[in-house]
Order: sequence, then C-alpha cells, then structure tokens
Amino acid sequence: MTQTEHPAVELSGLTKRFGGVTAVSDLDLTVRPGELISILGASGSGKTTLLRLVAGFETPTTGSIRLHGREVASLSPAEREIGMVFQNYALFPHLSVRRNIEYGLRMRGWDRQRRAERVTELLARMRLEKLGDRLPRQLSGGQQQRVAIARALAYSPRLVLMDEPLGALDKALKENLLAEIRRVHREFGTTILYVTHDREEAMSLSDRVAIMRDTRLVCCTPVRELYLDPPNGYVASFFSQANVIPLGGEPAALVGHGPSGAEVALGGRKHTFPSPTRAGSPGAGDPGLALAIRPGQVRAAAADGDLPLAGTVSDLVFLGDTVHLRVTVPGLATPVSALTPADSARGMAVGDEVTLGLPPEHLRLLPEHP
Amino acid sequence: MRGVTTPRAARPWDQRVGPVTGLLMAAPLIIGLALFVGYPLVSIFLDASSGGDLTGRYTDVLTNEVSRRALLTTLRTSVVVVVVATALGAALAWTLHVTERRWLRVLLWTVALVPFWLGVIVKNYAIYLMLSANGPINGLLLELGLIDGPLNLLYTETAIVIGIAYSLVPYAVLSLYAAFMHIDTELLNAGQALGASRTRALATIAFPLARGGVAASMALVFVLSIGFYVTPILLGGAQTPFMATQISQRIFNLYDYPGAAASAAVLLLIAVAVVGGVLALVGGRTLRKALR
Repeated sequence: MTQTEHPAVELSGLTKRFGGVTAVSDLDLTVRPGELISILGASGSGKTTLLRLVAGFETPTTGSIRLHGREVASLSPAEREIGMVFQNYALFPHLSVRRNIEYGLRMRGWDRQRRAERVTELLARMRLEKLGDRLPRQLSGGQQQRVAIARALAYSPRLVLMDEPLGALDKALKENLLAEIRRVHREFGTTILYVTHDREEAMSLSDRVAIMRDTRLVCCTPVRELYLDPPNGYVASFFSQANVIPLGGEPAALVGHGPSGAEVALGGRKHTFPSPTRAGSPGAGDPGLALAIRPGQVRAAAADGDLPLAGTVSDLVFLGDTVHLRVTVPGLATPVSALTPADSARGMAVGDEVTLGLPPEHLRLLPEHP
Repeated sequence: MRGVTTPRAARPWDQRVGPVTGLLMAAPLIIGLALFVGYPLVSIFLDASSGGDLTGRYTDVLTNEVSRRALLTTLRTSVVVVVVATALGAALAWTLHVTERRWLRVLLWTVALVPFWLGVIVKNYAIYLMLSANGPINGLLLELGLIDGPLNLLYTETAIVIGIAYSLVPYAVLSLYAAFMHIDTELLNAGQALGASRTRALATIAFPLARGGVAASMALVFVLSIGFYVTPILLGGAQTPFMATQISQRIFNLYDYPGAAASAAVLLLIAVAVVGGVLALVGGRTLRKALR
C-alpha cells in the first residue's frame, strides 16, 4: 500500500437507528484495497445493516462512510461505484443471464460491442458459457450465484459487497463457490466485504474477520490470530468454539494478582497465568476474567501437570478418529466440550464420572466480555 | 388370531374432493350463472336479430347519428378513465407495496377503498357538489382570483371522467397491487447498485415485471367503465350521452327492445375484444402469472 492510496472503506463513528431501535452503533472499520474481510455475526447483530449502509440503501444516522477516500454518505447507490451480491441473488427474472450481467454496463452507457465482449469474457471466467441465453429460473442455485457474482463484477468495481451469498446453498456447493470467490478475489484483485453468519465460511475466505455482536464491532483481526488468540470470551466461544470458564468461584477462581500474573485455582490446583494484555475499557470496572480452551486441547483424562476438571459425561458422539464429549461440570452453565482421540475415550459412556485434563499451556486467561 | 374380527380401519381424512362432490358443491353457482348470465347473454343476441333481421339493428347502432355519438363518447371517455385510474392506482399501489410505515399503509388503503364503501348515488352526488357552480372548486378559484366567473365543470366529459375514475380507482389499485406484490424490491436495489437511477430501475425492472398485471388492470377498468350508467346521467347530463343511457332510453322511452339488445351486444363485443386483445398482446402466460 503506497502512501497516496486511500483505504477502500473507511467507516468512522457509523451509527444507524430505525426509530428507537439501534442496528449499528458507533462503528469504526478500515479496509485496505484488495483485502477480503468477512463481517461475522449472529442474526440481528447489525451486519446486514452495515453492508446496506455502505451500499447506500440506508442512510447513516450519524458517522461517515468513505470509499477510496471519497465521502459517500450523500451519494446514491448508483454513484458509489460498488458491486453487490445479494442474499437471494436478486437476479432480474425477466432478463437472460447475458442481459443480467450486461445490465450494469448498459446503465453505464457502454457500446454494444464492448458489452458483448465483456459479457462473453465473464461468462467464460465464471464457467457459464453455455447458459448465456437462459433465464434465471432455469438455473440451479449455484449457477444463479455465479451469475450474481459475474453481474457484480461486470464493470470492474473496486469494491464488491456480498450479503450472505451462500446462505441458501448446500454444503458441497458452498465449498465450490467459496473456492470460486477466493479465485475471483485473487484474479480480479477486488476489495470484498463479505457478510456471513457462518464462521467456517468466514475462516476459509478472509484475510481478516470482523465480528459483530449486538450492533457493535467486537474486533477485526487476521483470521488465524483471531482463532488462536481470541481477545475475549465472546470471540473465543463464538469464533474458536472454545470452552469459556468464568472465574466465578466454582469451579475456577481468581486467588491472587501479582506482577508475575494472575493466580487461578482450578480443581484443587493453582496456576499462574500472564494477565491479559488487553485491559477492559478504562473506568468501566473489572470486566471479569475467564479461562478459554478449545475442545481439541482438552484431554479425556487428566495427566500430570494438567489442571483437573471433574464432571459427568452428558453426551458422547463417536466421529471415527475422534470422540466429541460433552461434560457437565457443577457450577458451569454450559457443558465443557472435548474433542479427544477415540482411543483415549474407550469404554466411556454417558453418565460416567470423568476428570478432564486441561493442559495449562493451552489455557488462556482473557476478559470474559468484549 | 382366527375368529377375532379386525376393527374396520378408520377412514383417514382425505383432503381431496371427488368430481361428483365437487360438482354438487358448485351446483348452486353453476345453475345461478346459467340462469342469470348464460340465458340473458344468449337472449340478447337472439333479440337483436329477431324478426328475421340479422344485421340491420347492428348496422343501425353503428351508423345512427345518436347512437354513434353515444358509442364514441363512451369509448373516448373510457380510454381517458383508464389512463387516469391506472396512473392514480399505480402510484397508490406501488407506495403500498414499498412502504414500511404502518400508518401510511392504513391511510392509503382507506383512501383507495373508500369509493368501494360508498353507495353509487352518494359518490356521484359528492362529486356533483364539488363541481357545481357554487361548489368548493369554483369557490377556491374565484377566491384566488384565477377566474372571473364560475367555470362550467358539470355536464362535461371531464366531469364524467372524474366520476367514473373515482369509482374505478379501487379496482385499479387492487389489481395493480396484486401485480406489484410479486416484485421483489431488492431487484430495484440491485438495479441501483449496478448504476441505474431510481426512475431507470423502475422502468427497466419493475415495469417489465408488472406489464401483464398493468395490462390486465387497464382492461378491467375499461370494461367496467364502458358500462357506467348513473354517473354519466348525473354528471354528464343530456350533452354527453353514454351507451348505457342510450340502451335504457331504447327500452323505457322507445320500447325498442331489439334495438337495445343490439346496442348491448355491441358493447359486450367491444369488451370481449379488449380482453381478448390484452390476452393476445401480453400473452396468456404473463396474464395468468399476473392474475395468480
């Protein structure tokens, strides 16, 4: 990124209220040109509203939206020079595939020959050559999706917005299209803002993942870092699907706080963890700490050096090489998940008393809430 | 288990209706239609050609000065009514389709449907009062100094157009709303994101998708309009004769029943031609989709 190049998207203090309901609050986000960012959140977290604000279908209540350095809050969607892929594709049902893809070029006054060349090129690149004259309803879901992407890319917008584009498709098709989107991103070098509620989609696609929760942006971090070092308990459980054990006294408690770190008691043993680097917002009071550990790092039986956690097996799913255990622990609202090698859980059954092993090196101390 | 009688399996509830049951259920309607629609339709054509005169009365309807003038007035007025009612109806129906404000929907539905709830006489009398020489419209124009004396708004074709259009706007709104209902407004967003202005998106996306429904709505309004009877009498007076008025005069003043039948038959054939024309123009499939 050169000094003179503006960020592709720059949102600051962006807020949107519908009547008394806030959909997006005080959101800041900067996207570099060529980046693929996923906005991940549960339904109702405000992610779609965020995308529609960027697209221009909604007007912000306060805050600014800059695309490539240009303030666009007062511009119509047509003037924002974006491509958009909609949740249900929104293909024009009365127009053929070719005419759908061509639509944006027509609106921009491209002449006939240039249009034809560009559409032919896109049909080839999206592997739709034989379908140019079909109507959208004569296509399968995956084909419609490819047409929608081709249409959004037709006039080479620098920014493409995608709103849960794979939501309605089955798993196998999803895998295919994710690969397709990665390829498009590589080949066209487009900046993509991708909204989804599916963490696997977000993980497999993006450079960075922005997580939204209750109208707010929780974090926006490179995807691996986010998964391995979640900044707080919410991200740990939502994104990394980690077990989050609040230090509320039972079964885990904070017993001391010193320069060397925080001392935690768990299952009759004590361990000192480095204090989380990211402090809670100043003046907001103690955010509350929690331990997080991913299911794959929990041992079915405690070994030497592990922090032990005793409970009852409430569910056991055999997955072949691994077994997924759910263990109810007194004092914890949600059962602890463990994904362990099948051999280590041999002979185990629902109702058994077990002592799980939490290796301290995999436990992470972090703020419970964002 | 020999000797134990198996209980007869309870007959499961069947949602389907057999042909006999179906016919029986529809019988009252079928008989009613045959008696009050089928028979009169046939008898109109028989009466119009009664006494061995097969085409003479039809020729008379089309060539006779008085009846020709009535026919042309009826058709001309109805075309204008179609334009006015469709334009007003489309604006209302589209707003109803896209608005998310509840109060606006309630208000617009009320405005659109009030003419349905008013009696024919009340409706026409209201417009009569509005348009009369000392009515509010003339009063306002005089007050503003835009005119020196009251305009003759009543007993004109314009008055008839206003009266009929007012009565028919609900039909236009309902049929157009049905046509617009299936248009996903996200398509217009897609169009705008691709660079179309609002107007252009409406013209290139919404209109083609609603075309069949709009044509069906226009045909409906036209067919209803050419049969209007009370409105032309109250608001048009003697200067602007309508076909329906002509027919009634032939029956009650001239006792020319076959002549009335011929006039009615002509009107009916025009209606059939318009509906058939619309079907041919937009294609049966589009129309069926619009009416679905």
